[in-house]
Amino acid sequence: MTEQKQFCTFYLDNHMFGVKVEQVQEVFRYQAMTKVPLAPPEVRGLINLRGQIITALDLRRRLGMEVRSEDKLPMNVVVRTEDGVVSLLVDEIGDVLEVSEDVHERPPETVPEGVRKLVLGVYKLEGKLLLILDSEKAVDVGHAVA
Amino acid sequence: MNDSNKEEPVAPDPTDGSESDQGDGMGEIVNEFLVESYENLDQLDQDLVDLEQDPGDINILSSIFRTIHTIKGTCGFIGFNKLESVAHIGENLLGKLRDGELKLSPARTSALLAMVDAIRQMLSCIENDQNEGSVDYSGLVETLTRLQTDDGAAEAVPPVAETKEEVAVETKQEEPAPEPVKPSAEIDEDMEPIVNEFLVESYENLDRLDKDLIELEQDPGNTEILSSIFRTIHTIKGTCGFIGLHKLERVAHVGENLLGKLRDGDLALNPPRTSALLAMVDAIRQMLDCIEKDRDEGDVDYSKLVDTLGKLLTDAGCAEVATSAPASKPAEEKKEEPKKFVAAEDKKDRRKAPSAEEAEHIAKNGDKRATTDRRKETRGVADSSIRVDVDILDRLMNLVGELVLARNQILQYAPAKSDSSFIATSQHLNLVTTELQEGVMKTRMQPIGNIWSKFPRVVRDLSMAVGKKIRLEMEGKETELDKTLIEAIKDPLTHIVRNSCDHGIESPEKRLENGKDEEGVLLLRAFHEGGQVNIEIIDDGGGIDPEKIKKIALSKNVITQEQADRMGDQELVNLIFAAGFSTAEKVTNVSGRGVGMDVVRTNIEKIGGTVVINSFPGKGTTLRVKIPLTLAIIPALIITTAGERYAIPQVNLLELVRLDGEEAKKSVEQIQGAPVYRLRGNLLPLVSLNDALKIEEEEESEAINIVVLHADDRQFGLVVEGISDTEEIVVKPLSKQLKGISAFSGATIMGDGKLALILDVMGLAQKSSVISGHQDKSLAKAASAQGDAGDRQTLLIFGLEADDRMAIPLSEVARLEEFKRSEVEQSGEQDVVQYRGEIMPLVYLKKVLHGDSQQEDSPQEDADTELMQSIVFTKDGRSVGLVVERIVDIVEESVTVKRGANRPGVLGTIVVQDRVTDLLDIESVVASADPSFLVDTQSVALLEEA
Repeated sequence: MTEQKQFCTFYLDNHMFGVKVEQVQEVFRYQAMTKVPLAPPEVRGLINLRGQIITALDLRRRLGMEVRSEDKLPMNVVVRTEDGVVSLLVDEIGDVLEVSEDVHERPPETVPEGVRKLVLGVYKLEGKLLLILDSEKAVDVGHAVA
Repeated sequence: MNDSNKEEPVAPDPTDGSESDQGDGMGEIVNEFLVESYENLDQLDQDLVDLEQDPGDINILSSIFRTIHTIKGTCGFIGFNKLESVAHIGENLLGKLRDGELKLSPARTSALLAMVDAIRQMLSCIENDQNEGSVDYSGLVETLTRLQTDDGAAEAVPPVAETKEEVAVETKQEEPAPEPVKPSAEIDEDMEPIVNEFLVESYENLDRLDKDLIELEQDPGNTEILSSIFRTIHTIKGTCGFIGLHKLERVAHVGENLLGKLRDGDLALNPPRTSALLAMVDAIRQMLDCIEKDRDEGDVDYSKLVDTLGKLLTDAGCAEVATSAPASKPAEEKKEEPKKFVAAEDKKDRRKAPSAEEAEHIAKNGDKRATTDRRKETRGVADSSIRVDVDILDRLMNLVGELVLARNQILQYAPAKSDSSFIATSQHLNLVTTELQEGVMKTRMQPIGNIWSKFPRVVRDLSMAVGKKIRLEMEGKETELDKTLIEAIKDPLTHIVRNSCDHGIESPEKRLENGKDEEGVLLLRAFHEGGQVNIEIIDDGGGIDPEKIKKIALSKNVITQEQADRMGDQELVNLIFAAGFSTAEKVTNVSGRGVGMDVVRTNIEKIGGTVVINSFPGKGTTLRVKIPLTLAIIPALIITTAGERYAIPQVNLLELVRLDGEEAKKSVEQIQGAPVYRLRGNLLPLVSLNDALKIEEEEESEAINIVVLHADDRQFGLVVEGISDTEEIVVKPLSKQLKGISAFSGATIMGDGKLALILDVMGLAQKSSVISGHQDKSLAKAASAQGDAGDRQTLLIFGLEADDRMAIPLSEVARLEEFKRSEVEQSGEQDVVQYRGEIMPLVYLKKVLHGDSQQEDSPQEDADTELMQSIVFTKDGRSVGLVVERIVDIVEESVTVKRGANRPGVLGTIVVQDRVTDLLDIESVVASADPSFLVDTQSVALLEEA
C-alpha cells in the first residue's frame, strides 16, 4: 500500500490548493483586520486571534493572481510556520483530503514562475488537480521593505 | 580540607579515551558544569574581594576553597586538564592560606583573581568550541606556584620543586586529615548557607543517582552512566569533606573507590555491588536528612556498609559477600537497610504530619533528635525552590498578558448586563487576574544584587590598577526588576561604575590635599519609586569640572567655541553624554575604550529609561538611572489618524500642542516645503503621520494636533488627526513579515479587542529625515541645539502694574492658577486658598515688592467675581501662590543680566523681547513673605547664575 497524506484544501481563483493538515492550526471566517501602512502588498493586515496578533497574507497577491473582487470576503487558514503563526487569506475552504503518494508529480515547468516556486507538487486527483502549497515559502515576504 | 585525597580519584586518566574526548553524551554534563561554574565564578569574585577586606575570615576562605575545588574536581573528571591544572595550583595556594601557613597579600589576591579570569576564559572557550582554547596559562601557574611561599612571593623565584613535593606529599595522604578549621562535626552557624546549598544540590544529585544506578544495572557496560554516577558521588564526597561531615565523607569515599574501579573496567558490575551502591545512596540521603534538621550527620552506624563496600572492591571479596553468606550477608544488609529506610521515612512523615510515634522516634534516635520536631513543619530546602526555564516564564507572561486583555474586554461588557452574578463573577475575575499578573511578574523579577555582585571585583581591580583607594557600598541590593532589564542595564551600569572609579574619585594624595578621607566611597543605591526603579551611582570624588569638559569638547569638535561660550555648567556637564566624547585625559585600560557615556545613555533609553547626571564640584558626582519595572507593559499615548489608532510610547512624548482654526493656518510655516512650527521661539520640524505612513489624507481638518516627540536628542512634531488618551498597553512583537517596517515597534490589543500599531518614534524620525543620516552633521546640530537650550532660558513674563514686566524662569513655576477672590480665606494674618486638598498661602507680589503703601483697593470692588492670577511655586512639597496682576507670555530668551539688583526681591534687570524686564528673586520674596518657607541656598545660586 502506498503512503497516504492528508491535506487541508482551499480554493484560489478556481484552483484547488492544499497544505499539510498538521501545519494548519485552524480555519475561520473573515474577520476585520487592522491595516498596516507601509507593509508589503501581500500583507492585508493584523488579526487579533484570541489575544495573539497574527499577520494575514493575501494568497492571491502572493501567487500573483487576479485581485479578489471587493464583494467577496476571504476565509482565513491559519498555518504554523517556522516564522510563527500566519493567516492565509483564501477564497473558499475545501475538505480535508487523503491522497496517495503515487499520484504526486512535480509542477510542470510551464506553470508561471510566481506559482511554481511556491508549489511543492501536484496531486492528480479525479477531475481536478491539487496543488500543494509550500507554506514556509509562502509566508516569506517583507524583506525588501524599507 | 584535604585537597590531597581528592586528587587521586579525580586525576584524569589520559589512557582512558572515553573521557578526554567528549562524546555527545558528555555534552549535557559539560553544559551543566558550565552553568554551575559560571555561577560559582561570580561568587568567587565577590568572595575574593571580601576576603581582601577581611583576610582573617575563615568562612570566606573556605567558601572560595570549596568552589575552586569543585571546579577542579569536575574538570579533572570531564577531562579538561589545562583548566584542572590552573584550578589545582590555585587550590593549593588557597589551602595554605586557609591553614594559616600563608597570609593573603594583594599580590596573592590579584593572582587568584587572575586565576578566576583564566578559568572564566577557558569556560567560554569550552562553551563555544568544546575545548579549552589555546591560551597558555603557564605564566599564571608559575606565579601562583611562586606565591605559595613567602620567599617566593618576595623573591619571585619559582620553586617548582616545592610544589611538586607538596603534591607528592598530598597524594600520599590517604586518610582524610582532620579539618583544622572545623574540628567538630557540628556545623558552624556561619556555614549555614553553604550547607543549605550543598543539601539542595545533593538531593538533586541523589535522585539522579538512583535512576542512574538502576539504568546501569540494565546496561552495565555504559561508561557514560558510570561516569555520571562517579562524578556525583565525588562531588558529594568533596563537599562533605570540606564542610566537615566526615562520616558522610567516608561512606561516599568507599563508594567512590568502588565506582572508580568499575569505571576503569577493573571490576564488573553485579547485583551485590549495585545493591551496595544503592544502599550507599540511601545512607547518604539519610545523613543529609539529619544534616538538614539537626546540622549533624546523625548517629546511625554505617561501618557495616563501609565494610561491605570495601569488600566489594575485589572480586574475591565480592564473592565472599555474595556467596559465603548468600543468605545472611545480603539479607543482613537488606535487614539493616529497610530499618534505616523506615527511620528515614519515618522522619519524613513526621516532618509533614506529627504523629503519635514521636515518643518512639525520640527513643530510637536519642534526645538530640527532639530538636528535629521543632523544625518538622518547615519545608525541606530542596522543596522550597525549583529551577524553571526562562522560556516557560516568558510564555506564562504572554498568556497572562492575554488574560489581562480578555479581562478588560469582559469588564467593558459587565456594566451593560443586569445579571448580578455575572457582574460579581467578572469582578472576581478582575481581582484574580490582577493578582495573577503580579505573581507572574514576580517570577521574572530578580534582585539587582545579582548584577551588583560583580562590582566589588570591578572596583577592586580598578582601584588597584589606577592606584586609588575606593570603598564600594551598596544599598537596596534586594530591589527587584525584570530579568530582561537586569540584563540590559548590566553593561551600562558597569561602565558608569568604571567611570566613577576612573574619573570620579581622585587619587589618595589629592583627596588628602582636599581634606577628604584617603579612601573614596562609591555608593550604589537602588530603590523603587513611582513604578520605576531608581539606581544611583554616587561618588564622593572631585565632581565634573565644567571648564575641563568645555576644553575637551572644543578640542574634539563636539561643540564650537560660540556654543561653548553660551553653555551653562549643567549643559557642559551633560556633554559627557555626547557622542565622541571621552574625558579621560589619557586612555587607560580602564575606560576610554570607545564605549562612551553616549552608549550608556542610548542603552538606557532603549529600555525606556533615563539617566541624569548631577555634579557637585569638589564634592562628587551622582548619576541617577531610572528604568521601568518591566518592558512588557508600557504607558502610551493613543492617537488616531485615518480611522486607525496608533500608540506612542510615553517615554518619547514631550508635550501636545493643539492649534485651532486661524491659528493653525497661520503658525505652520514652510521652509522649502518642509513644515515647521515655532514652539516657544524654536523651530520645530513637523512630520505628518499620514505622509510618513503614506496614508491618503481624507480631508483637511480644522485643527492641527501636534505631538511633540523627542528621539535621539532631537525634537520634532508629529501631526496627527486626533489624540485619544494615555493607556497602559501590552507590547506584542510584529511578525517577521512586518519586521522590516521601521516605523513600527510592535502592536497591542486595545480594550475593545481591536489592534493598534505601536509607533517607533526613532524609526519614524529617521524615515522622515528629521534625524540626519550623516552622523557628523547631526552631532553638530545636536550640540548646537543643546547649546541654544543651554544659555537660553524659558521665562514666564508677568506684570504687577499696568505696564511693567517681570520674569521668572519657567522651571521655577509649578503651575499657573486662577482663583476667585471669594475663595481667599484668612489664616491668622495670612491670606490662604484651598488648593489641591491643601492650604496654600498667598503672597501678593505687588505688596512685597512695592511696599504696603500701594494697597490694592480698587480690585476689592467686585471681589466675588474677579479672578486672581497666581503663580504656584512649590518647594519640598510645600506650595505658595504668588498673586500677580497678569500673566503676559512665556518666552525663550538668552538671559544676560544688564543691571544688578537695585531693590529687594529682584535679582536684576534683563531685556526680553526688547523690553526691560525685572528678574524676580522668587526665593527671597517667598522667604520675606513667609519666613517659615524653607529656602534652599542652592537654587538661589542657580537663579543668580541665570
